Amino acid sequence: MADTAGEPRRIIPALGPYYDNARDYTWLLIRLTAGGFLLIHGLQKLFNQTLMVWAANSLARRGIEPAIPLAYCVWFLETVGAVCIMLGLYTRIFAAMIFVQFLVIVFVAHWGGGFAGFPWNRPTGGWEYPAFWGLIILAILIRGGGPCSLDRKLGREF
Amino acid sequence: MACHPGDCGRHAAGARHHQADDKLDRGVCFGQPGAARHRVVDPARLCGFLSGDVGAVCIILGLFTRAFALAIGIQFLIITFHAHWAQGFAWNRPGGGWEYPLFWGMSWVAIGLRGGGPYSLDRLLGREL
Repeated sequence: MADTAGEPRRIIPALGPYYDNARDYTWLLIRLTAGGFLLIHGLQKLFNQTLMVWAANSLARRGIEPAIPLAYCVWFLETVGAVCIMLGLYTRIFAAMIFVQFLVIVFVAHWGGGFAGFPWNRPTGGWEYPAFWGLIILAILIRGGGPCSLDRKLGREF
Repeated sequence: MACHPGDCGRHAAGARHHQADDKLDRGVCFGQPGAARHRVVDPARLCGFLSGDVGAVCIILGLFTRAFALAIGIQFLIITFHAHWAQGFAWNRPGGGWEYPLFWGMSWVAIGLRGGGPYSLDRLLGREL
């Protein structure tokens, strides 16, 4: 049972126990979403195209160098890092590295000149979505693994 | 509403422009191209205003958080599975895939279950749905 001290009085009291039980799992849901979507991107880089093609099209074309070592870094973060975010294992370490990656995605890859580059569904994609995702990664970096995580099971965390 | 592919500055020529695109953007960004077209009040636009503008501010403030998260969550079900489903998964496909709306929708589920939390007007009021 989660610690419910400080939670406001419920307008519908019958819902209270459900909210109290769900509370700890909401952070798990955030981690599964942010990490799971990242894992999809990592697996796409593995199965839909070779990593070298991705390095050429997404990094070198934008002048992000050295493209090949960085492509391996990104791939590591989007597979191993993504799984660790989902499991809540070494959460803060991986969230910190992934946050740096998202800074590059927002401010270099999808920036598009500032506010004009904001809308997420403009051609080639705006920085709205990467920024949204990156801020959630930042929240995970600040919060850590939370109640339903291997970090919590291990009892130690960065 | 009328679709104006190409003149909103966001879509490739010929890509489907959906009303939900405007709703999605207006929730977090005022004064974007296209906002000026929303002058006539009709039920769809009123819903968009309530969830996209009033709802967004209330979510930020943590005021009536769960009620608005539920309403906006339903909105994002439609955005994901109706408006952007045909465009495919990847967010940066032409017209925008359903990846981003679903990501956002999952966040509404989390916010809806969690409620306003420690730094919210709900907490200050001491009552919440």
